[in-house]
Amino acid sequence: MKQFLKKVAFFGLIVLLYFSASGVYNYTLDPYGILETRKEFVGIRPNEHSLKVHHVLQNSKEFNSFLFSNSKGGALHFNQLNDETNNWYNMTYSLGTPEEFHHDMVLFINNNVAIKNIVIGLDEGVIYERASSHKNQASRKFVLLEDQSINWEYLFLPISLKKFLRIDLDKKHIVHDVYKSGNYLEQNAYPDNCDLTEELVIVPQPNENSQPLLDFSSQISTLKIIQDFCKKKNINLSFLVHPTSLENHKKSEVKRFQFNQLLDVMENEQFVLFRPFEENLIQNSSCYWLDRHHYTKKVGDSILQMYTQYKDLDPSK
Amino acid sequence: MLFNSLEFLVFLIVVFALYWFVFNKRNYQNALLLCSSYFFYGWWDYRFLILILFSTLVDYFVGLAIENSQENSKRKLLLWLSIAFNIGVLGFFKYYNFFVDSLVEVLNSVGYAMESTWSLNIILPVGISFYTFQTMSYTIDVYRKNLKPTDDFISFAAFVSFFPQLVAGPIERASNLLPQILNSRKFTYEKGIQGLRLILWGLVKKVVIADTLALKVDDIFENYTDFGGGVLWLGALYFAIQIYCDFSGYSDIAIGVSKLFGIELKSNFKFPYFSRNIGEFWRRWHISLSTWFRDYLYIPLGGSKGLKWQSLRNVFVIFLVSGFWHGANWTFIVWGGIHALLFVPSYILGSNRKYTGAIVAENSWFPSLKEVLQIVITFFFVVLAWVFFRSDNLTVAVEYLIIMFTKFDFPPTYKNGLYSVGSLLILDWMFRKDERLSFPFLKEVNKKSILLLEIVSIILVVYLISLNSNSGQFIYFQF
Repeated sequence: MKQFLKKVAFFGLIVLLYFSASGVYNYTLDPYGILETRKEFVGIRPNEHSLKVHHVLQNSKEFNSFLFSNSKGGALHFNQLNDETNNWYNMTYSLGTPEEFHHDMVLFINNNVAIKNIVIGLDEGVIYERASSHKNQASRKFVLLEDQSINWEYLFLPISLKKFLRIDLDKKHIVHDVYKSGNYLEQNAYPDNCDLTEELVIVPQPNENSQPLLDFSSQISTLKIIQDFCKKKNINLSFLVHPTSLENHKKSEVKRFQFNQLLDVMENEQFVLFRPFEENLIQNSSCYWLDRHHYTKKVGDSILQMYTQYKDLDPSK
Repeated sequence: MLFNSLEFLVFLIVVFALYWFVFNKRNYQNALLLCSSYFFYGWWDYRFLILILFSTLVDYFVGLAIENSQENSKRKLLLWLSIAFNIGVLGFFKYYNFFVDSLVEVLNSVGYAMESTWSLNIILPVGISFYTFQTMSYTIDVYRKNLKPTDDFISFAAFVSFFPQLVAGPIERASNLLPQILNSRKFTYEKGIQGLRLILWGLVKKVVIADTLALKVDDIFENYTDFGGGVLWLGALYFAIQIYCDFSGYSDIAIGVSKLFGIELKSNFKFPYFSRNIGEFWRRWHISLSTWFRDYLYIPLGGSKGLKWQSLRNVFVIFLVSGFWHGANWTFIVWGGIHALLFVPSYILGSNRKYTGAIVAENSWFPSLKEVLQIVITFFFVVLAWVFFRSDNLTVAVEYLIIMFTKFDFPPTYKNGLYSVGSLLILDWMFRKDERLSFPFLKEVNKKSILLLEIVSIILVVYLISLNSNSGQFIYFQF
């Protein structure tokens, strides 16, 4: 037994050494920003949700208007619409869900953030993504940084050589502007010959085969909760429908079709939707798309322009 | 509590220390095993502990009552009481909704329109298929007078709930496990080290191989219409290896953990993918389940005795029931049916018991050409059958198979997948003679190299566990 225990102790020591090394690595590099030892995230994706909520709570008087969306809304720089009465913050983050948006709104209100405007960006993720699936994801699990407890699990995350060596910085990537406007800033995103002033090329959505209707009751119920909450708190709420690329449409036709079904159901349920490109798709171009899913700031700016006109037509929206 | 989690590591260290250093008398050790097993199970959902307790109580008292009864009719009645209870619990929690929904579908298809209002929101208790079979085998063995029942309730309850194999087997027979629990255990260095190596090997299979393949398998099976036949073949091959590494990895860990407590469990896998026919495959795959069905279903039905049609019926019954045991879905039943069909030719020709002994090429490095062909053909059909096992429903399985055989494109980006499948099979081939996984080749290797190998494996496993902290549960937990 003694000999066995010696061997086990040796193996235990190896495990201990491994975790000590990963603890030092995670504390020093803090890739997700949860341990609050890092403030810049060039080339790496921090836990944007927690960091952005933390920033708003720490600056509760600075912002009164919020865009909630998944990462697709990162290029919608709403702070360009800032004026004397509206101060926007981009509360978008990877795979954000309406359940989480509602949670954050309540948290803001409870912490004296005076909310005036809210825009909720919608895409296919509304149907498929669930907040519960983020519990085990270091980059997406919501951590209230106002709590002073130590988030031990973040100390023992695996060591990533890519992050450690900070490689891939020359490639196209996002800079997470958490501590200013919340916007995503693209780095090395556009080809040199990209004409940012040319008109967007939009194409009609191809006809699809009909698909059986899904049960959208849980999604509708969450969105209604948000709508009721905003009404009760006197917040201007808009539902913005993100545009889709032709390429993404072709790749996930079924999902897109189901999303359109959801939008139809929402309209039947009296939700008012702002659909900047109606049912049209935007042609594939590296000037318009960072990848097949995320549009560039050029598209984002067009949407903002349309949003301004949409608001001007009926300020009550 | 998952074997591939840090909480299990802490749990194991604490129980091991208490078992050998604090409660080192047999009775105390059994009480500790019982408490720790209930804690281990309760970590998932303590509410279902009541089911294990009931199952234990029923079979404990039924076992004693059968032993004390002289009348055959009373003994039989008691046996059926135990079977009805265990099958009733299993049937309710696992199959109730399946039967209700299937009945409604049948009624609808014959024009009697109705909606399923009887379906219930039932949670499937983890491991229920395993421990109910284990307790049933005890009562049947007592009834058959193959086993003396024990009046030591704590030991019996520890046998039913023994944590290393409680949730995903191997399904142990009372004749093997109970005497070990009733007698004193002794710790030896060799057993302890062997146990640790088995745990490490099982974790490598689970965390390094199965969990990595799971991501690819899920992607291919969930988006099968996006791919050509070549990629779907790769997906089916990946799944064959995933389920093997996942389940045999669990069994290796269970056997390894048991060794740390001085208890030997039986082998559950013996390199099934090197089988020369389906009969041999089933003597090497999930052995504890196939032998259970052989001894407690096939033989009581008449086995191979009687008329040919009766034996064929018996073959179909055990394969279909075996498929159904895996889950309340027609895909599992069809999977069982396919294996029955594959088994029938060798059964009719009388060659089904041809390879009951040693593994192929036991005395050489390479198999003969005939053996290669036999292995490839058997593996080919086993992989095809896995498509039904993995698919969500029969329509998906059939569509998946149609694409496999009609669209032959194979993007070069996937060719690395074939290399990895080939490498894993070669690795498995190299170990094939070591059925108990005692790693005898290590005796030839110098101590420093062994140590280095162990250190690298430990770091790799710990790294991968932390990398994949939401690591998939063991596939067989759902059964």
